[in-house]
Amino acid sequence: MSVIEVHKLRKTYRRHQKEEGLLGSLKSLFKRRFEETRAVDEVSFRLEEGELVGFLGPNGAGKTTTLKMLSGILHPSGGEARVLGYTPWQRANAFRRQFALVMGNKSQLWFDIPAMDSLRLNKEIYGVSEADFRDVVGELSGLLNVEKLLEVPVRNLSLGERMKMELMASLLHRPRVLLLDEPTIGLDVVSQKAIREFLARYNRERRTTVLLTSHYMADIQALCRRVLLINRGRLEFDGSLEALASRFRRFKRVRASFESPVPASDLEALGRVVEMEGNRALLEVPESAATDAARQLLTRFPVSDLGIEETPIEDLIRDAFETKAGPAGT
Amino acid sequence: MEKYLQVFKTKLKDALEYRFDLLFGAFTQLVSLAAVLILWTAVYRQAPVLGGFTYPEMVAYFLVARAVQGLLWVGLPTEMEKEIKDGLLSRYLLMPISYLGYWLWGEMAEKLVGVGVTLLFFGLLAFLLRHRFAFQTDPLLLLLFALSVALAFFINFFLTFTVGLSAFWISEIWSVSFTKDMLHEFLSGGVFPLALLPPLLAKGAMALPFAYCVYFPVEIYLGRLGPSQLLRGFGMQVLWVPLRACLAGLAWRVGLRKYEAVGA
Repeated sequence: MSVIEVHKLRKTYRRHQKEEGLLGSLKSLFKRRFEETRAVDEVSFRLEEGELVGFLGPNGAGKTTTLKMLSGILHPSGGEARVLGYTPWQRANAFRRQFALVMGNKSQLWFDIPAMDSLRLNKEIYGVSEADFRDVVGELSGLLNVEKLLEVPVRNLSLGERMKMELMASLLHRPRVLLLDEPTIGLDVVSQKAIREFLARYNRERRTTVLLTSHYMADIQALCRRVLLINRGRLEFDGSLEALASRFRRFKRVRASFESPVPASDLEALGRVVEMEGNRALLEVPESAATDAARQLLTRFPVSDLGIEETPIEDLIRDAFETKAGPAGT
Repeated sequence: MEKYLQVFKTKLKDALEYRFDLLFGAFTQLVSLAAVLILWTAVYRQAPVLGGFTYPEMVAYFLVARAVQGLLWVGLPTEMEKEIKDGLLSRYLLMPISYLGYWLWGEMAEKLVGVGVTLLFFGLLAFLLRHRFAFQTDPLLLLLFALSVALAFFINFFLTFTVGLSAFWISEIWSVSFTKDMLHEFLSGGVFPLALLPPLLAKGAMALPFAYCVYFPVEIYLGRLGPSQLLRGFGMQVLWVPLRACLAGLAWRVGLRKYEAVGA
């Protein structure tokens, strides 16, 4: 049996459409018009024990909605899902003791008290024994390097430190399934790396099944061999990261500042001009040509500052889908 | 059970973190109490007894009523509204714990701190006003008084919780919350003793649960109730606790269905 089984899962949101102006507001008091959006559209996939899978897609593609349904906070409009054999939205206590959802932009910790107190609370809520509690806290705080921060009120922690505490709180009961929604969002590079390394190691050692969404390609590259790609609610790809990467052309972005204005037309020979603002430009060039483009910029233009960036996975995928699919009508 | 005990302990710590709040609260209490007492002192220059209350009894009424109101007051609708609207409610749905139980134990912890502070604060006030304050020394009445306040806490808690849950349907719940607070303040006898109302209105008020939150306990404290009135009052309290609990439970189930449909 797979740890996570999703079959034709569907979620339709009904949104209330309001007409403009006061008259419209009055009208909507009596007669409401609804617009239906399909956030998740017949998505099916399976995850086996111990897998670490990346869930990709542009904003609003349905990633978070899917994770919410898998964790039982959201009722689907149709389809089925089984996590560890349970239907998530029935929220059986036995199920809730075996999984965890971590959302990068939503804290589960109590702000005003030290993380240790939140952990103690979670210990009792999940019925973790004292011995196990010491074990887990000892192990995780060592791995995450936060031993000294356990007694500091959460509100005094940095974002990265908080996320580490968040992970600890979620892993206290040793969940068999871990759902992560943007665990590294807003973190500095060092913290991102620390979280990433921790997750890789944890998954390897504990064989915890992990499904993770992230905006950062680096996260996905470091962690996931398999990725699911979702766009406009539909599952577009399920396979290895290599297969996905080769499916999309890879670009890098070259960001340059000039000492004096440079016409955009002069830069177009080097790559696609994404942004042009005063003395600053952002170019998109094929990955293989990035260093060459940078070299040419330096020699041919009055460059004051220059950097090469990775195209955010978001943009990469959106671009790919925009050129491929065009607007999908629902 | 243990998990709720831990909520209790955690919230206790939380409550102790806000010592400044307590101090500030005490100051506002003091100012508004002073205003009320000055007014009633002036009124009592015109008549020695009003609605069966002597002047020391009236002073005691207001002091004790304030103390009880303070102990009953739960500030959860604002927090619940935030949790429901920001989707923080989800974290409770993820955990093997009940949302109502979580809040109930948490608020009870806060009230435990509250009892200590209240006794200290109002005890001191009563001592300062000792020449015009009617003290109750009968231990049985004091015990019944404490019991009635405890029951009142639950009556009020479940209603307040239900008000908080209205955030499932209404985007700004302060109007609901405010209306409830106003009704509660007036109908519970927080503004003045219900005995001062015209008989018909007083009778109507006594049929509502609010009267058993403040007025009834304070009347016990003042020793103004006979055995049959005590029985009737406790009967009403015991009736209203489960009624309001059911109301809260129902609102929770219906509201949650909505939350699960939309998510947050």
